[in-house]
Amino acid sequence: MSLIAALVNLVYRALFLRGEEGFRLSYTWSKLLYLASGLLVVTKPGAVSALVVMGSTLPLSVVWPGWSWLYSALVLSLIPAAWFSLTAYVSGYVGLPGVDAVGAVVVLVRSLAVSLLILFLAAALSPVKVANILLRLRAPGYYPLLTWRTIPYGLRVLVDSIHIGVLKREKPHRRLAPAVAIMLEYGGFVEEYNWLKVGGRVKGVLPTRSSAVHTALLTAASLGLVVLYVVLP
Amino acid sequence: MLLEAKIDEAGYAGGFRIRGVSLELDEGELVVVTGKSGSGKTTLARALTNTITLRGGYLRGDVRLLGKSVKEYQPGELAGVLAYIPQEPWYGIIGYTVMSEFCYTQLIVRDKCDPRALNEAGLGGMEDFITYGLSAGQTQLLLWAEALATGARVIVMDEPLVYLDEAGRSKMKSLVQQQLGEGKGFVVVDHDPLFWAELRPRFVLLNDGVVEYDGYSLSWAWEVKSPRLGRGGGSGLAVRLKDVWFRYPGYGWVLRGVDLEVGSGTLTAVVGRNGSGKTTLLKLVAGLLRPSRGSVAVKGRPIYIPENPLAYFSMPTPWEELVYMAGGDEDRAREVADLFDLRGVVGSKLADLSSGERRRLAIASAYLGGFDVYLLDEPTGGLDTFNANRVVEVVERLVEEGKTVVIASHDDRLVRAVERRVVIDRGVVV
Repeated sequence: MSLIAALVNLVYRALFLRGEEGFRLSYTWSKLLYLASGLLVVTKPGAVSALVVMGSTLPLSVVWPGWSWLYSALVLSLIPAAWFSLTAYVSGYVGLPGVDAVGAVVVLVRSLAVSLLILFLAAALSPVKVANILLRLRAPGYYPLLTWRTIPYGLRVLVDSIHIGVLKREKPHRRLAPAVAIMLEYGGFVEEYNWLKVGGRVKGVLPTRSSAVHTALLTAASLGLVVLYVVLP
Repeated sequence: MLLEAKIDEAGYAGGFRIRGVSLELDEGELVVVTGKSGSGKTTLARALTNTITLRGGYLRGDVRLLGKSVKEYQPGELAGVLAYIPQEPWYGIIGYTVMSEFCYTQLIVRDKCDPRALNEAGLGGMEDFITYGLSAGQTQLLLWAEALATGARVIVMDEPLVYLDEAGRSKMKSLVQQQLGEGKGFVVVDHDPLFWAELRPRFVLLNDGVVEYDGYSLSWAWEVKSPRLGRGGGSGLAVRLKDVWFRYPGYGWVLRGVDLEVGSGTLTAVVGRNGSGKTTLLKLVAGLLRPSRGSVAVKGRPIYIPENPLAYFSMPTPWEELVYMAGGDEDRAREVADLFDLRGVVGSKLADLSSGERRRLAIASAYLGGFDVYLLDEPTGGLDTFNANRVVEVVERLVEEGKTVVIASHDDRLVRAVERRVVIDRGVVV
């Protein structure tokens, strides 16, 4: 499998693997609360605060979306984290303000914590609830729904195309054109077959479910983070 | 009268058009529109549903639904009268979960969503499932549930059987029968009109854009010789799967302990219900997926040609694709274009090719690439019998040349033609 196909697969698993379940069913305020508490804790300098946030996000993500998500999110988060850490370290050698090896590890851990936190909450974002916000504002509510449907479709088309390129012994960049061609065709057909849905005015909001358990877990984790923020030096 | 269409002409500027088509649909009536690929069936469906202009086409004439011109309807109003289930059902979905898709459509015609129709379509319990993870057959059933829930009086279905297995087809037929009994009207575009015969439909046969027959008799039905594909035979094994288990991340097992041997130079059809694991099996043989457990061994170079062959191609035109795969040898490309009966389309754009032409081109291109094992996913899906037979001829040629071919299909016409069939049911070879 090519590197690009592997990356595309990671993005798919990190953001589009699950349906309307788990933390997507938690109340919006609890997600915002968790985001705010996580960011609050990492405002404290050093690696410990970041480890605290990671120590909170990792078990939550095992509850939902699960191990497969966790693996993908860790690998994806490592990419920017390693980049920030490396550039911060190398900067010192080229005459710019930089960090030593310990500082580079701190940058790595802090970047990883923030990145994981954001990915986790992005995965927990409910397209249905976003659609309902738009519908209440009398805006087209299908945008988030169609986005969450189309992106994984496009990613899978790209992966299939790259895979076939491997069999044809082609370089991955050659496979972009067929994937784009399929997506253009897809766009045309979606416009045609959904013109009644897209052109019609929606008369209500989409039904949603809520999960008290997932809301409670996020709230408890947020409170734990706030307590640790106070306790940490 | 539910629908009255008097179409003087409809089509695409400078391109294909249908002419002089009159169609009436009464309550409880089923009209089956049939004809060869390119006869104008889908153009007629687009004209009836007023979507032809979205494809850059035009309609001269009038299509009236419940006495009112289709052009005068507002989209929301029309959604309560007309439902259109396209041939490729996944294009008809905008929601990311079953429930959001189902309810979004329903909320266009009423202010509350009633999920009962999901149960009737057999999708109860799948409300929170992502639509992207549905099989084509399940997607078709979802669109069907939407049509039921919006209360549409006229339902236009374009090739509704293509992605359905036997059980799904029977279910579809009984649902149509039930809805006909409730006074709804159906226009079904289908290359297999005989399937609907027991519901006593009116048949409309299109040929080159004009109506060649309109009535209840089947006397016009064309005789098509069923192809027969031998199993071929060479020496040794080309493919060997030993206790193969596979699952996608976050899902249950798709394949469970599959053992399979495919002889070199043979033809094998992998058959099974929607979602039984046929495509996954082909991808494992191609090496595009790795088994979670067990082993896959393939002798020679495999190539996988997906259901949508656009994902296979590397170049924008058939000619460039063939020359590219022939390593720049134009004489060889020309020879293979003749061999696979592609001479007439080599200068077209890939986007303008029909499904059948795309599939034959993909196989021809792979043939030029010198692959040994050909893994063809639904190579005849959506094709009329004439064009399906042309694909079968191409497959036959591969086998005659000593290539190993494995086909995943639930197309009865193809499956019946193949001597060796491997049946997969819920991830197990039975």
